[in-house]
Amino acid sequence: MSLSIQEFAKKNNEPQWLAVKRMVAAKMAPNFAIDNQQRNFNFAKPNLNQQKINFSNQASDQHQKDGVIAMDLFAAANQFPELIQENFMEKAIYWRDNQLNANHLAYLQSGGFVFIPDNKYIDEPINISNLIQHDNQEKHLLIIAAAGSASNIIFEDKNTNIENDRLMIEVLLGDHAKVNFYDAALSKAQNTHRVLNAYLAQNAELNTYTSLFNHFNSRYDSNIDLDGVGSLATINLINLADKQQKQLIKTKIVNQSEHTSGTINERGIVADEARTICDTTGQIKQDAPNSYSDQTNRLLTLSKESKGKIDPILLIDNHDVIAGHAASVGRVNADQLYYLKTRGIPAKEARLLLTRGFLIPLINKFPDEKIRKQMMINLEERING
Amino acid sequence: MLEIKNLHVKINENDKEVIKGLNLTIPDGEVHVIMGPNGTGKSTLSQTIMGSPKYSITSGEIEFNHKKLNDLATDERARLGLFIGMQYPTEISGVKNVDFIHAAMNAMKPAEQKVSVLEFMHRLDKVMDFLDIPEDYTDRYLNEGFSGGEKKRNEILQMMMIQPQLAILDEIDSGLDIDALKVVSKGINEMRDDNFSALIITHYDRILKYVRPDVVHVMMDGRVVISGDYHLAEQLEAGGYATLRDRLGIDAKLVDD
Ligand SMILES: Nc1ncnc2c1ncn2[C@@H]1O[C@H](COP(=O)(O)OP(=O)(O)O)[C@@H](O)[C@H]1O
Ligand SMILES: [Mg+2]
Repeated sequence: MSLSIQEFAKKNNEPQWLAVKRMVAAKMAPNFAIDNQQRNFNFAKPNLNQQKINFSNQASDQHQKDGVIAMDLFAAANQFPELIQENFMEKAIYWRDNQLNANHLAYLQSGGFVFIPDNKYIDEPINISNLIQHDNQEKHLLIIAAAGSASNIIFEDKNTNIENDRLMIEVLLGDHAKVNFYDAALSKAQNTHRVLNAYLAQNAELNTYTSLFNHFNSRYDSNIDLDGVGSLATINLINLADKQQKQLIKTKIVNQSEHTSGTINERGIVADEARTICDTTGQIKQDAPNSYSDQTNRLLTLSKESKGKIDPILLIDNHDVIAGHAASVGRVNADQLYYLKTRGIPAKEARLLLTRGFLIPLINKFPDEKIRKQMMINLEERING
Repeated sequence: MLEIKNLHVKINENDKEVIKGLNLTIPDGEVHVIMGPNGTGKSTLSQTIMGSPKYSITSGEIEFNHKKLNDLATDERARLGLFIGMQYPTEISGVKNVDFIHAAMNAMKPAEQKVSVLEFMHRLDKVMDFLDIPEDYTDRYLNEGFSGGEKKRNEILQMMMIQPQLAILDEIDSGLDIDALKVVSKGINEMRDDNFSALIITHYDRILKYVRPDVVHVMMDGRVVISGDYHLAEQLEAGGYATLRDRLGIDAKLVDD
């Protein structure tokens, strides 16, 4: 038996403002917009059951010494209301934006909160994979990097076999904050929806690295707002789709202010009868002179039946900028395949080698060696089934 | 043993016939050389033996150890013991040299004989040492950013790791300085034994000072026009292809004429 939102919030010991916000969201959700592509991911309401909540700071001892907070979102809502109330689903992912967001807020089952204190340089990567219950449907991560901080953060799915899987990640960066974020989407759910949105203050820098290695139908949304003057963001995404998988990848960086820079780099493999659509947008607003926007998309199709499609969009309201995009969908290079075969390597294995070779250059960009290794392991596991 | 009988080959892209009735036999344990002017079909021949999708056999036969190759896939031919050192080795970004060579070695072996990483690294070290190849070769991407000479050395490294029965080496000597040429020759000589044969394709007799061939063939206009021993190469070097052509009364246009 599912609890009502009110009962669930009470069991979680959620503060009043949060419980009310969730109930309002549930009520208002049907009024909000939803497009056809989103409809497939408007999942049935999950069962709200009481879970055990860990109220303590789960960051490593070393990280705790540096002042890092990594804890359950509901627990944090009590402990740090001033940080959560004005940020949670208000800035990077706005709960009123569409039905999916509102329902997510209303029926949120598990969440994590991460805080990097100001002016701290955190060397050791912060792994936040265990902050949430992976077998829940509606999950959320709120990450706040305070002014002048620098950190490497890593999140990896545990590949559970649930029916529907949604994780929304918000990253908020203060002035001069810097975050490198590795997000490994490894879900084996039938339908997966992942959102990674960010909001950057002045001179902040965010580099996201996403391995989109879900196994079934999936939708990925990433929207980065370069709000602060001089802020900089890069989305690096590698994806792999096989069998009858359908993937929709929507990425967007918006240059809101001057001297901002947004780069999107995507590389993907489409095998078997899979279908991947990349919808990539760079937008430069009127108030963003001297800005930079660039998108590069490459898809490699491994079979005749596999299909890849790229829709690059540049929306430019200010012409004192540098902007460009490059997109290509191509087959495996025949000369390379032949060369590998002359060494006795069978066609199938040769394709795998080329697949790795195609994706690895993006992996190599990640600044932290340990995380690079982990990215390679994720890639190997996905390639091998 | 490699046997080629009355081979005719056309280029798929433009339907042009390039190999026009070629015969060639290379018994086990022998090193043969093919010399010939530019554009005469030497690379086409070697790629056709390996089964490149760019060329089609219109008639004739290629047999290796009495097995007909015509309809076999390239990787199947390689697993029978054929190897090609390419004139222009392909660059593959993102694939590490070391991973590639390991995959190639294992592809040649049945499941129960796969080479462990340790065994493989040990052997690779030895061969690289033998060929004076710097250590950083292994972690670089396959041929990416390699100089012409480095690429050729890498082909020889692969040959020595894979241990084929027949190695076709297409202009393995071109673009090499004298030291590199010696190293490459050393590699080929190291492979020589009763079960190994080689087909060396070259322009000049330079490499033949280091690798003594058993037989020299001259190819012109898609055919072997004359075969002989080592001295044939010397004569050719002295007189040039045009003199030989005129002496044999062949109606072939040379690119350099
Ligand atoms: N893939 C190809 N596409 C078009 N023409 C080719 C191709 N390969 C070879 N040729 C042509 O076939 C002829 C023989 O070439 P090749 O076999 O490379 O000669 P060689 O190696 O003896 O110099 C040349 O005229 C060359 O231009
Ligand atoms: Mg040639």
